[in-house]
Amino acid sequence: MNSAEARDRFSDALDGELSSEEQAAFQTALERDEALRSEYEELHQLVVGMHRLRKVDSEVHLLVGVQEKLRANGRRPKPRELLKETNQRLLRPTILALWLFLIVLLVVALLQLVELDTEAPAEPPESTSTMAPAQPGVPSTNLRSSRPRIRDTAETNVVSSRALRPKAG
Amino acid sequence: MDDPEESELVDRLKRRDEAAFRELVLRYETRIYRLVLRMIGDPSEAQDLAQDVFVTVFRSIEGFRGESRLSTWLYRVAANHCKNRLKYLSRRARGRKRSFDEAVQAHALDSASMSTSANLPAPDQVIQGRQLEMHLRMALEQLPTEQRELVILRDIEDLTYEEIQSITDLPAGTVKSRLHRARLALMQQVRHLQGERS
Repeated sequence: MNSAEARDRFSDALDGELSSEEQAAFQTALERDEALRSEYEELHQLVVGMHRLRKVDSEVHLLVGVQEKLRANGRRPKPRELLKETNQRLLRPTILALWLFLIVLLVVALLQLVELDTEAPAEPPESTSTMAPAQPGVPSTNLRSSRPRIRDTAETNVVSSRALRPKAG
Repeated sequence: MDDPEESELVDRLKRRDEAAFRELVLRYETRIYRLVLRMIGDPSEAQDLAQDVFVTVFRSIEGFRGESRLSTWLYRVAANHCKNRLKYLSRRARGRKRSFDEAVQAHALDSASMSTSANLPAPDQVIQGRQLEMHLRMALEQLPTEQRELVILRDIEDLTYEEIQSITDLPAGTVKSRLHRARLALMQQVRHLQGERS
């Protein structure tokens, strides 16, 4: 075991993790290298010194504090209770306001639907003869009235051209 | 968990026996407080956190399956609490109340007030004395949390590698190598502190 290998085994040696052969090789390495030995001694004393930190400066008594914390936690209202309490104060008016808002929205939406329905294009009437031909120069009032008017005009033109055609025979 | 006494204590804790809980706190309070104190560094913070550990234990004792010793489980809960608190404190920029230089300076002032400060003792005498304890405390505070945890569990609390593995969830090789690095870092830090002092 050379010095570098021995240095890597410092902790194993301190923890008594070396086998008897390894321990012998480790000791030989320490005897060969003065600096290595003093480094190991330093680390050994440091680990021994760490045990001094087991001692705490003052005695500790946690029981009373723990019991107080447990009691305080026991007194703390549970989420359901908190919700119940909040419900009484804040949640109920909020939900009521939300419901009102939703109802208003629904009414507005229904009104819009009704309006759209009344404005939707209707099917052209079966009989066009009763409809008056479109008056040139008079603007149409809406889409529903303009569509049949165009068709009426075309049909009227066909009828009028048939009427003008000379009869055969 | 082979200890019948411990097993009985756990059963009583699970039945919410108040006397059992009192017994648990009295039996383990020093060890838990010591671990937390060495991890956190601040006595009042450590006391508060150690109390929280027992509150957590009381609440979650049903989760203890008895696969490890009760003390190992307690250490595990305490170590997790410490890590969480350290994270929280570092986020709040309160983790280190004193910077390293401030700590060295404070230590120098503290040493100056000691009766032995006029004659600097030899290194081997220092190691036996109070100065080493102070150096070690300060050096320990400078270690990263993971290394500090291992040094405390192994060299202060004297736990076995198996117990440390159970507490930290780390493989044996990682525990050993990390502990070795931690000890070397600690030694460097102590040397640095002794150099500052002399």
